[in-house]
Amino acid sequence: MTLPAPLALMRTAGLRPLSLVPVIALGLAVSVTYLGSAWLSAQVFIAIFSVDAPGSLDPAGWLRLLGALLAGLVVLLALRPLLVLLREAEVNRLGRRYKTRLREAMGQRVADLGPFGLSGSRSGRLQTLFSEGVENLEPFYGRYLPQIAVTVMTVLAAGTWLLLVSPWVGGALLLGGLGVVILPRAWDRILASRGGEHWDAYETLNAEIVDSMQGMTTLKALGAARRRQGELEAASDRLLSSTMRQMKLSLVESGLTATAHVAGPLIGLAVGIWQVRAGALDPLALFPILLVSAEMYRPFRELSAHWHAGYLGGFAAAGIQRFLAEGTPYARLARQAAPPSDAPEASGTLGTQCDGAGAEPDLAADVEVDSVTFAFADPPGVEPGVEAGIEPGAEHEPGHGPEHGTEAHAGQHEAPAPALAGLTVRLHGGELNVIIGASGSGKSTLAGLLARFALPERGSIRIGGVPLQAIPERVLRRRLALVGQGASCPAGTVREVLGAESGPADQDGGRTAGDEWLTAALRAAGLESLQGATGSEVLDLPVAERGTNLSGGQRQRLAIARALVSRPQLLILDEATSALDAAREERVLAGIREFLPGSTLVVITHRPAAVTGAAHAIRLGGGRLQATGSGQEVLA
Amino acid sequence: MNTLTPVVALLRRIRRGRDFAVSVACIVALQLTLAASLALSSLAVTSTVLAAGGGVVAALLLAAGAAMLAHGLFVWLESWFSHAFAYRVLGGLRKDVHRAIERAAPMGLGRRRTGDVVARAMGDVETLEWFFAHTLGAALAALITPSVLIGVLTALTGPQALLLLLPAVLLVLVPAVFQRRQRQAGTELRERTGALAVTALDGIQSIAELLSRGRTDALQQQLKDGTAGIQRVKARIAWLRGGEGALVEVILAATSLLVLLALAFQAGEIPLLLLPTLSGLAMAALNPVMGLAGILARIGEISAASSRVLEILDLPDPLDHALETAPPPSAGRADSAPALEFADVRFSFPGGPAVLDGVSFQVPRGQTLAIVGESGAGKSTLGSLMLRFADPNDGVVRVDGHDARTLEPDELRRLVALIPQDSFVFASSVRTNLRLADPAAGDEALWSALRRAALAERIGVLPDGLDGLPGDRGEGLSGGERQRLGLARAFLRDPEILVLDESLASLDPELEERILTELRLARADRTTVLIAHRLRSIEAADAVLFLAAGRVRAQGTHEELLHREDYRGLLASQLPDPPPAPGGRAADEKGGATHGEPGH
Repeated sequence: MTLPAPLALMRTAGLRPLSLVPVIALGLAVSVTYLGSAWLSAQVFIAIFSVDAPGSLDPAGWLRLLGALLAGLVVLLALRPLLVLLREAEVNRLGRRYKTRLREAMGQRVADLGPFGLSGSRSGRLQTLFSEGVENLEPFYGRYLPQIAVTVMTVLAAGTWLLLVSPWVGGALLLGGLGVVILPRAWDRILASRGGEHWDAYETLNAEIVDSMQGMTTLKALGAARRRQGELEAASDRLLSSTMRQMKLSLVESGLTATAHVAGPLIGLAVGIWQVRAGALDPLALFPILLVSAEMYRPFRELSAHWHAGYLGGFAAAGIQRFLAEGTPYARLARQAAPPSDAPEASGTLGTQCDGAGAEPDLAADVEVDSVTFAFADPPGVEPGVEAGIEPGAEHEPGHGPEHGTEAHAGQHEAPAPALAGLTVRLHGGELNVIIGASGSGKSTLAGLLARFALPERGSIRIGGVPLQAIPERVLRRRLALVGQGASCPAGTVREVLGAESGPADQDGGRTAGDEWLTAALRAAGLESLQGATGSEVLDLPVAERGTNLSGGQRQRLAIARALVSRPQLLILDEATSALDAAREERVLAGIREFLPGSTLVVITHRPAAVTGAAHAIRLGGGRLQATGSGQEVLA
Repeated sequence: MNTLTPVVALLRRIRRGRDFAVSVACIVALQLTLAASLALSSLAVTSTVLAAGGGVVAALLLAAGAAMLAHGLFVWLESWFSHAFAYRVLGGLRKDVHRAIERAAPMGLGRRRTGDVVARAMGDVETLEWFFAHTLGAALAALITPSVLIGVLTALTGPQALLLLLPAVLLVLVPAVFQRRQRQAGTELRERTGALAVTALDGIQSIAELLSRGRTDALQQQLKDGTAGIQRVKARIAWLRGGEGALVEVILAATSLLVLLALAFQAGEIPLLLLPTLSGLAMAALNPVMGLAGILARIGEISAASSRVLEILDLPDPLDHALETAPPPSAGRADSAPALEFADVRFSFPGGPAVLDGVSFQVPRGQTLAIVGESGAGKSTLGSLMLRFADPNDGVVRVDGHDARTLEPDELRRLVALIPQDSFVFASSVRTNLRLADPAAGDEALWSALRRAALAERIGVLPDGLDGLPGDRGEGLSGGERQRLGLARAFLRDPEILVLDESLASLDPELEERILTELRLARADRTTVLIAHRLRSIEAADAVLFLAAGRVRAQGTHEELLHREDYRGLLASQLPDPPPAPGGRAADEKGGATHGEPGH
């Protein structure tokens, strides 16, 4: 097992080595009860075997001795389950702390990466890390790691005692113990790579099943379900064979370890017998040697059992560690640039940036985008890497090596250009602004930047003259809403879906999300009736996960209604009406305008029909402004 | 014992008797060799204490050493066989789970959440590994080994050794005392772990919304609550296990004390030489049973995992395969028969209201039918029945004159293809995504399909072209691009009957028309079913089927239907006469506004 990754993760998890002390102490105490009862049993045998010996106790004294020994045994045996129970409770308490911390850190990481930073990763794989990954850490941190300390200390303590009985026997047993520790570790390095492979295959299979579940309709509709089945079975077989390959090795270790567990005491015993025959040891001392040495090796057996239960945790730890460290935390960088959330109150007295009165910035003001450039560090999705070398075009262009790949070139086969290349544009506050442009023209990147999922590399965005990054996070999130085209949808009733928006996180008291308000938001989004229900009845309709019981258009309108509930000052619809027909789209947009008088509405679409009537329209192309003006002007 | 019911049911599905028998034999062998090694070394000690000859002691030690080596060997063999057994079972189970999903989706899965089903396919199945590798064999061995050892003891000391059967039976009974609570806690643990997976998957997939609404703290809170919930159940399980452990320890302690006492008092009757050996053997006889108690302590969780997996495996097959004929009746294709025919078709989900309530219509070969109706009228269900995602409860769906139920689903789907509104894009390359429709298609065919779906340019500028990765669930593409990728699949598939379930909704009308024309050109005899909202698509169709509340409200050509007020109401906003005022008013008064205006 690779220890570095889990050990490094301990710091992140807030798990200090010292906090393992109680678990270790309890484990040691359990070991002590085993050693103690072994010693007491040995004394019983000694008593039995010395009953006829010259100079032994009288029968009454013998019985008293026997009684005392047995009483001692009873105490130890009663104590042990208690100690085990306490240890379990402590493992659980500890686990709750670091598992919470880790999931918090991972959730935070998801929030830090944001959609821009997560765009290259597979959600199914990440989900495995969150659930099984973290769960697998518990046997690792809670049992395997402490057991290492327990084992070492038990062996040292029992070995030292045996050294006192007989230096030879004690020495042999200590050496044997050392062997049991060192021998299997020789396997560890090989195992490390294999185990990583196993966890990797596990994560991949998980992601494949997520895809299969969500894409099954598509697969069946194309008659491809069986084929896909074959591919998945192949993936499953790969998981199986990687597991088996790893096992072949790891199990040799269990065989060796098991042999060593028996061999140690046996060698100790042989040495003891040799000592007795040499006259250097009392024969009766063989009983404690026989029984104590067996208990001395017991922690090893538990150690390998815990290893088995915890080894996946070691690899999961490496995956978690990577997830927490790699990628660009676009959203965090953007958040960090903003003043702390309670700044507006403070700035009131200091009289700083926003306005002297300490009022919060008005997000319904004009938005100025000034020569904004943005490129993805890890290009999302379709645009991976910059390896243009394999393309025929690149060969005919001397000097156009991959090292120049990030620069935009004119022509068909250019390396991925920045998503936005010096875009300057103005969005009119309190009004409807329509943005159109071909796919890949930078529309969604602009939307993401407006929602501050990332900061522009160069250039600035200002709302009402206030730089976007000067707006406190809390204010921005309350006043701005973005609805994407594939807007997700939690499961629950419509009321719950909408109500989630005005939950406890809502802090400006007065706004209550009563049914009336929710119904009004639904009506504005064009969902006044749904599946035969109308008005407030709609609120009680159930919504399935990802809204699969709704049509695409209904899902989009529900997502819009969700955004409306919190009455944003700046609402961005990023192809959020793509599943509606033009007429319906127009009605929904009008409904939104009426529901949010005075708010800025930014509508991204690639449907020219939506643009014709708009007073303010913008056309993007290749990350630059191509035209701006009224809808008619832009289309012309 | 209802705890065992799901476990037994799952075992019945697995036929791997030989692997299993070998692993049980190995367990018994390793337990017996361990006992032998202990007994022989004890014997060596007492021989020494009683001053036996050096040769005897050396022979005993050597024998103990041999037993030790055999023990190591059997441990290795056992762990190999039991793990091989377990993992093969798991591999098989995962395949079965996936097959079950394939069989039931999309209509038979009901409201199941993706994260939850995946948790069952992966997490719960993994939980069972422990059971198959460490429990099943050990349970059998726990019956065999003690019997053998108690037999040996009886031979050595007489019938009083049979008293050891009492603690053995008691040890087996301990878990039975706790099994109900264990099962409850185990079920809860598996459910909570599944719920956490759902939370994580939802959170990751909807991060843009969460972030833009500043609601990532809600995700954090859910993760925190989920973890706390899991730990609470785990604590409960720990206490239950602790209670069991304590009982087991008490039984063992009492037994070992009694054995020691008995030996102490029988010191005269039993040869002194055997005393420690007998004590050791007595404990060795109980050890496997004790292990079994520890194993049974997890039976609650195992049982819960088994039933969760079984629930997926037992998802009902929505299709009735009884009528399918082995060689597809392709020879008997009657050209006179309509390409597609619904005859009094009724359909409802189990226990639900009727979704389709006696629907009849025909689509002649080569014609285009548009299906219109309010959301929830049953349009998509019609499409699902054409593809045999389910069979009608009553009535017949005919394809090329054949009852669809007589065609194997894969055979049927060679004739009929459906492009859903949100075509799923897999994380693999564009090429792999396209080849779902035609695994044999070469690059030339792929590019041609992309061109006709107006997507070639977009893919063409990518440095990796067809090898480009569209990202998790195709997130690297816009919604319109994903739809066009879906349509490119339709061109590759080139089916006789094509069902487009709002698959053009995200496209500009011009593009929509262009692609529809391309589809028509690609195959003259193609029959097309358009589930559509858009006036232009509807106008282009040869006939229109107007569906309302699961019934055919009307059918005919678009022009014929325009005489109907309800049909005009459905399309009102798109019909030319009402002025589409930009930023128009009264969008909320749909009923009044839309019904009234066409009448002008």
